[in-house]
Amino acid sequence: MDPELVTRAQRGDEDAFGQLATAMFARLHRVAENILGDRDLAEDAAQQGVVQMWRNLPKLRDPERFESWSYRIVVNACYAEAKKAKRWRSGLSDRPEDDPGATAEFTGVVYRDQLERGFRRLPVEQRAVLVLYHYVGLTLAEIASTLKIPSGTAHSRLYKGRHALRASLQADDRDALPDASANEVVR
Amino acid sequence: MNTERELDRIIEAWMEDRTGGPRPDALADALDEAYRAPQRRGLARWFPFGLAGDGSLTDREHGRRQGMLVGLSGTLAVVAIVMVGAWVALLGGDVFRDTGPVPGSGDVLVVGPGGDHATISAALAAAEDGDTIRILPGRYAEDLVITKSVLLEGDGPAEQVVLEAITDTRIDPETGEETEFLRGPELRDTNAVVRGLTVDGLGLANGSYLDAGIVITGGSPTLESVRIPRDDGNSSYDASVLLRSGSDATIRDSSFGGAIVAVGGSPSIIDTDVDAIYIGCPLAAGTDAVYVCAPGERALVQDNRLHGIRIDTGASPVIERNSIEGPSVDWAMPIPNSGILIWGGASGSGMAPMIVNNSLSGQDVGIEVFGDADRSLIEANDLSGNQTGVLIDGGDPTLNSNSISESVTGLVLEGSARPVLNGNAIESNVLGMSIARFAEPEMVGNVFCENVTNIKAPGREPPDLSDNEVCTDGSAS
Repeated sequence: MDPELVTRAQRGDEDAFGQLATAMFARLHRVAENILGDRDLAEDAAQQGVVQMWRNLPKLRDPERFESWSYRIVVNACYAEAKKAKRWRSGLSDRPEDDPGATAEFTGVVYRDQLERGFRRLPVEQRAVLVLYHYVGLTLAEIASTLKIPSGTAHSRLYKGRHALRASLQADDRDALPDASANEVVR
Repeated sequence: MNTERELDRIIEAWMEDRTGGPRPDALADALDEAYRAPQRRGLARWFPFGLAGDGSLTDREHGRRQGMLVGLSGTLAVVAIVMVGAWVALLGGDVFRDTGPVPGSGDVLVVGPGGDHATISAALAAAEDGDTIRILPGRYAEDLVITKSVLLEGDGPAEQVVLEAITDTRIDPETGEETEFLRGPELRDTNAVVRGLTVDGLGLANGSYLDAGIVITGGSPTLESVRIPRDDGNSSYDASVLLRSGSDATIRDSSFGGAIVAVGGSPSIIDTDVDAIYIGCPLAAGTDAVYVCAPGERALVQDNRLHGIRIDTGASPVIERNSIEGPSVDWAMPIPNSGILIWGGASGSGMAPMIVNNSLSGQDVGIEVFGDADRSLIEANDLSGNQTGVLIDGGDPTLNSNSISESVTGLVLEGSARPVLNGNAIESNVLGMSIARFAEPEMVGNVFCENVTNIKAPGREPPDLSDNEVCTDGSAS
């Protein structure tokens, strides 16, 4: 992201901010949609993110960090949406826990359903770390910095989330996997 | 699905496929809503970051030498600083300069019902240096710019002598735009004393984010027993007191709901309740990203009760005997919130921050050293009950005789931090110390006991702990 553009936006230049928002919005929306699992909630979160970005942009110290800062704002907006809306949970209840029609020949579909179910069971904080890691492609250190959490916490959330997703994909072997849910990984 | 890599591939493909993206009008709607509200112009106005543009901060060898210097005991160093400060003051002529009559030594002018004057402005116009302006209980909404060295004193309980903030305007130096903000009295190049009153009416009522209860520009004024309550409840970025460049104000025994923002000078903030304190340096002339305090400038922050202190590039305050309790102040930065944040530090003024004998608890991070050139002395502090006691990410501070306990992680050395650790007690934490791969601490006489795990050094060999005491109830790993 062009730091000059960010600096101009910090000074109140709406055209500059419009360019920044246009460049980021679709990606931020998809991040939110992945975290929340609901397109409407994601839109609310992404839009709130844009509003917060505009209002708080003058406080951003380092224009080079605009992109990671924007992720943090949208993730925080996702937390707020997840708290105040339970709509995504109702979607979960529509889905059968075990799909009798799923067979090995439709592995991709099975994976999707299993992942969806496993993912929706995770706390939103773990979902955020998984999305930033797997979808955005941030490293754990970058995630910790972006979300302002200790790197050990980022590591722990990723580990637990991946463990849960793996378990959902290997339902038959779930009992054989080590249970990490009670452990907080610190370093 | 057998391997971690396969799991990665499945998750990534699934995430890529499961989203539909935004509606075509979603962004336009968001921008419409965004532009209805003004931008929050917070501390960036006072402390825009420019670490990358400050080449002096990367001189590591110079930093190490300075680090050795500040490795003296805190007591000796404080004494030395006080002596040097006095010497500099003598050379600067402060002691011999005629500063005019002492505020409160002249005539008394009474303001209020039945008094000599109906307004403070009228009394100020009539007063001479040294006079006392005694303000009777009541609310006074006046545009006050105090340039005379008078004593402005509430005559009654401070809660009943109220100066109401007024709307002022400023020209943004960058955009040339005029911005409205709320402020109380301004003290300009004066040695006035303001005592025993309240400044009220600050907040976000007019959509401004530059409010300042009292603005101090230059001079050596004193604020004593002054109250500035916080009435918006959510903006620690509003400054209860804004000290502009070059002020050597003294603030003591006061209570502020917002922050004290000090830019340059050598202010003293003592025995005061305040939300947060920000200490920085002014922008160097002819630059847009270099912040430099004048040689010898050093703020003193002592015996206060607050939630956080942030030390920005170039500033070298003495932070001593403060009680800094959580919740942590949100520094609006993509790093963990902390009780004391040292960002850069130690340039221009030729000195390093000193953090001595403070108590920090309930913080996300007790003390956080960030940036590449810090040579701070962090000594004899009590850090207990924080998520992380001390986090050092870069720089080479010296940590002497601190107690770091009852934290999830006592001490975290990130990045290529090169601290000197002498005689610290790191006890009763879940993890005593975490050392990143490229961190290079020098460690002598530290104690690691009663931690669930004493030390973790992922991806590297554990450091040489032969000159330290490591109890066997936690394992080095």
